[in-house]
Amino acid sequence: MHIPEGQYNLKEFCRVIFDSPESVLEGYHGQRIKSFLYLSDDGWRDYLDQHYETEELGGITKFVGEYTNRKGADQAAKFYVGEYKDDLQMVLTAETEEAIRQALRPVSEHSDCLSPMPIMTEDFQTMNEIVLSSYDNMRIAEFKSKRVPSLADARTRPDVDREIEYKGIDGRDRLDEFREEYGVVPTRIQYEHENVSIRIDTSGKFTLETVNQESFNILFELLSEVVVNVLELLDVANQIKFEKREVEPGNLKIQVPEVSSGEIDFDHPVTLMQAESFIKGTKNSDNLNFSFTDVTKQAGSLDFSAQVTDENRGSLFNVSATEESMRIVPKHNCSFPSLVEFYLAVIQMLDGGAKMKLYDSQTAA
Amino acid sequence: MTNVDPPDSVPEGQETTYRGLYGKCIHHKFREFPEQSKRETLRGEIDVQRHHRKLISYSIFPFAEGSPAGYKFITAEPLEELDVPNFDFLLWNLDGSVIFGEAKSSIPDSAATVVNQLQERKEVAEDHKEYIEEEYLGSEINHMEFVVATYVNHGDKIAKEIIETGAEFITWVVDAHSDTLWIRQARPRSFPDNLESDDPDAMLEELDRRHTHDISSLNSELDRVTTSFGQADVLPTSIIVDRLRVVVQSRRVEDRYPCVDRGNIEKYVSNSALNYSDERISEIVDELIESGKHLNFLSEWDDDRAEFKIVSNYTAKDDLERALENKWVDWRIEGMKDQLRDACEERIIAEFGKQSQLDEF
Repeated sequence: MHIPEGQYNLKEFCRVIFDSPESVLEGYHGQRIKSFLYLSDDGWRDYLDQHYETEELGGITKFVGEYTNRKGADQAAKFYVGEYKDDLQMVLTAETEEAIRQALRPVSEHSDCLSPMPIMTEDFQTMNEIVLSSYDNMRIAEFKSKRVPSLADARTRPDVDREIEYKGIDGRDRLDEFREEYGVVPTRIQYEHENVSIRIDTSGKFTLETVNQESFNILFELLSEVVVNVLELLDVANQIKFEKREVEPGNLKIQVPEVSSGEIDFDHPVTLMQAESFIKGTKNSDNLNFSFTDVTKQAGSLDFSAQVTDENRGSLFNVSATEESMRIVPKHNCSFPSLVEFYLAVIQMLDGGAKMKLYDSQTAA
Repeated sequence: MTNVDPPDSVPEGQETTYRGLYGKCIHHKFREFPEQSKRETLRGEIDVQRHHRKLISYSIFPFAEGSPAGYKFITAEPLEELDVPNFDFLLWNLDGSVIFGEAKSSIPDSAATVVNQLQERKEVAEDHKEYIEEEYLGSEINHMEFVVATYVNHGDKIAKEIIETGAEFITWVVDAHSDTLWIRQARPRSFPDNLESDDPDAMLEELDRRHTHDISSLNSELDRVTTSFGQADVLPTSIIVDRLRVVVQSRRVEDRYPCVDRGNIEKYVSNSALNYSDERISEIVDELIESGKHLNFLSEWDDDRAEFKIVSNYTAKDDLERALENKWVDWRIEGMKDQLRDACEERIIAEFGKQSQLDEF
């Protein structure tokens, strides 16, 4: 993007973009703006400084990385980040998917202080309802839906795990129809009306095909809906930790463990087969890199435990699941992005209605 | 004929005869050797170790996350450094009370053997009270209790046996399907003969007292407490294949090569172990590296990038874990075959001995 020199906060920055999209996007193929939301903690600015050329524009930081384009030439990719809220950063860019894949993605994948903001399936439904009720004439041109038993009943073969992608001008009606018939709920939607075209998905990516004030308004309106739940999730992930406390009750210094564990409560009973396909799914995924070792698994009422490594970040934690919930016991270097991504993997691949919270030993007994 | 070097004791000129006889013997032995079932048995051993380690983990977790009745988890395998029969875990209320716990992932039908073993370990622990006070706690113990933890389907068997033999152990059971732990109180089929009273009610009361914790709040706090797997994964006395998981967990990948430095292993062990001295941690790591090389799982790497290479084409931890288990099984099988080879050698040498005696006539 071509942004005039100046000092901006996030709102002012967005205004610069939609006030003069032609000059801002001059020379870009896509002529669209992509916005990515990231959960963050204190170290994130230093982390950017270590990995990119950075430049401060008031409340906005420009950061530039390198990527190799399709012709094999090295090219600069420009990104801008501003604080949407404490611990929640918004990245804006006009770069291609390839530039984003090479120059932006690896950053959060290996960082202990940044993780993509997941949008819980349920919040996604809420966002969709807001858009549809605010804009009667909003069309859905394209969507992707997946089976989430906790959010929708299916008339046809309810026990089949399925994903449906649909393209067509009548998407809005089909979305509801598929939901009732096949028990699927959307995880990616493209909205269109006369001067708005915007795409949203559960990984916290928003694509503004139309660069104007109305599109930005929708973006900020949707964010305000999900932000509370997302920040709560961050709060939970930050509290999951393992420490050794040194005490000296007698005349020796000894260590005692202090574990604060997390818990993912399932929305419906999880079977061994589902747990196994979840493990396979995380292994085959492009952007997740979890490995499961030391696995114990027994069917019946589920008995499942394993040691999990986030290979991207080197975090280690243990999980122990029953059919109702999964405990997460931190071990080494257990940073919040690993836990947030693990939870995102659970809602995307195991149980769309699962909730992560801090385990409370007081109420358990 | 087998191409084998005869030992020196074989008379000159007899080498070919030796090879022929040895070949026959070893061929027969290998044909009789039930390799497949041995392999399965060894894999079973790995599982037994895993279940045992996880049972310890489930048993101590409430004392890592919280502090029921003030007790905290202090260390796994207390007294292991002395090479004496030891318990699996030690809990302490940071005041004067300790609990020694033994995890038994299964109880044989003759539960009495388990109780005898527990009694023996209890005596050892009592004999080492001062050592524990000085080396582990730095303060006096004035109250000791002993626990045996098992999985829920074995709870009754052991609890009954303990109660009938009059031994004083408290039984904890873990249900891995619901991730809960509780204290199992079994009613005996017959009263032990070391009870003070003759009145049945008083006898039952006495038994209840004997098989639950003296601190009543501990009994109530451990009543169906939720537990989890995730602590205590460094157990110096478990079988080597189980211990070498630590190497898999500490590995890093350099340019598609799984590799590890001594420092990586040391860091993992010291993070995972509580209250082990630096020297002990260093010994544990030495043992891991030596055993790893022995199994051909680790090898020195003449490269600046890392000290040791993991001998495998895989890089993912789950694949490496499988490779480790396979290597250990192969190594154990090879060991069994070596014994067969030795037996053949001995037998053929003995044959030669007899022949030479006949020649003297």
